[in-house]
Amino acid sequence: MPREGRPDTEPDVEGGKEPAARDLQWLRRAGQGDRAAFERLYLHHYHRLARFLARHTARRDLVDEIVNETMWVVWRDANQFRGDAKVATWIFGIAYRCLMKTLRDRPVASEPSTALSEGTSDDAEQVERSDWVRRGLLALPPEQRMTMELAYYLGQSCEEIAAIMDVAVGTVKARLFHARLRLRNTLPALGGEDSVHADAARG
Amino acid sequence: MPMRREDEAMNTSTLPHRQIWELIPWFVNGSAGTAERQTVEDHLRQCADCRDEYAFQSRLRAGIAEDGVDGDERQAQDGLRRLLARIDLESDTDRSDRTGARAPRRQHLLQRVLIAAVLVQGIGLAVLAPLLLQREDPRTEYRTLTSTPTQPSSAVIRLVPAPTLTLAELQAMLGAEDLRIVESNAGGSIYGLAFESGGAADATRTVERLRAYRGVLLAEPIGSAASR
Repeated sequence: MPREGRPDTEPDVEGGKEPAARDLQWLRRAGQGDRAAFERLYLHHYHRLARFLARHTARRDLVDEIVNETMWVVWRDANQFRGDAKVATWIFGIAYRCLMKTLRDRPVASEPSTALSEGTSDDAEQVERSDWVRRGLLALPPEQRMTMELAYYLGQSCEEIAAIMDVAVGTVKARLFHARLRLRNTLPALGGEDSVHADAARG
Repeated sequence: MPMRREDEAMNTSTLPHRQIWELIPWFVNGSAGTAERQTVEDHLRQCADCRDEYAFQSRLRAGIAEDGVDGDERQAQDGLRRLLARIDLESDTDRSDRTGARAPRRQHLLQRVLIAAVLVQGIGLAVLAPLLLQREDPRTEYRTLTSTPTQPSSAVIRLVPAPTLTLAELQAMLGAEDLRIVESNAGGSIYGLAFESGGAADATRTVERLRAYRGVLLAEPIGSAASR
């Protein structure tokens, strides 16, 4: 996709601490055909995209395929980004739609990864907590699992999640509410003593 | 939502637990606004149940953040290489498609223009045809000098001069015979002549004299003169 190069008049923020501004600058440059900027954008988002997608399919090849489909759309439509949301929100919205399409077309791919933590941490409590969380998330319907992931792994706001999943803000709140209720029941270990106390008070 | 009686009594002036419960995820993930943060913080200081929920959500967030399998750097580089190859490939295809598609597109445009032109002509004919059929324009009728004129002609002699007859010779001849030209065909090769005096002189004799002139191919009486 050849594009005309234009002088870059945006301030250089690549070395700065503002990820949103840095993403935007990379995207704008990619829109002008700057491959190097696009490569940085790709590598910066690859891991988070791969992890987000791996929650919904155990097939590594599909994860890579969806990541590349997502970033292909990003490259193609970079000039159409209006700046209404953060670049990351826009990218994850595209990834979400690519994921949904893939899962619709290939339902067999929808089995999420159940791989245990790779044991890179010496903290046994942390490993145990990760395993509990994975099991808890697997018990959730896909929409609730995705909402949890977007909120607690990617740190997206309620409005951003609504934009990514193309639903109303109220729907996001409802999904999160039900997900938390269910996790409360399936992850008592995370609740600690307070949880036991609260459960007893509730019961 | 769990709620202790003492908390309930203490928080009658604060937001309901349900609202705090809804705000806690955004408080935990750092996306809550300043006012929302303040609201949650104020409530948590007073409500043990919501503090418990906050602690649970914080541990859940930590668990989610720690869990999951990131792709390694090699996978990222491999994926990027594949995508760039695709971009190159589709860029070439796009270029060739654009080149190849130009001619058919032009043909398609030409076809549409021609179809539009035919339609416009058809509509024009449909509108004008009845009008043209109803209209009787005498100017469009085909007439010859031998046909009976719609308006009565004053010509009594038809003259066809030879191409070699000069204008001066023609004028001299007409002057001598007291004639003038009152009609002509489109090419100026056949004339209808009438007597200058307007009277009905002897056209037959005049015709005979005209035939004797050099440069006259044809001279004959016409109209009422011919029937005499």
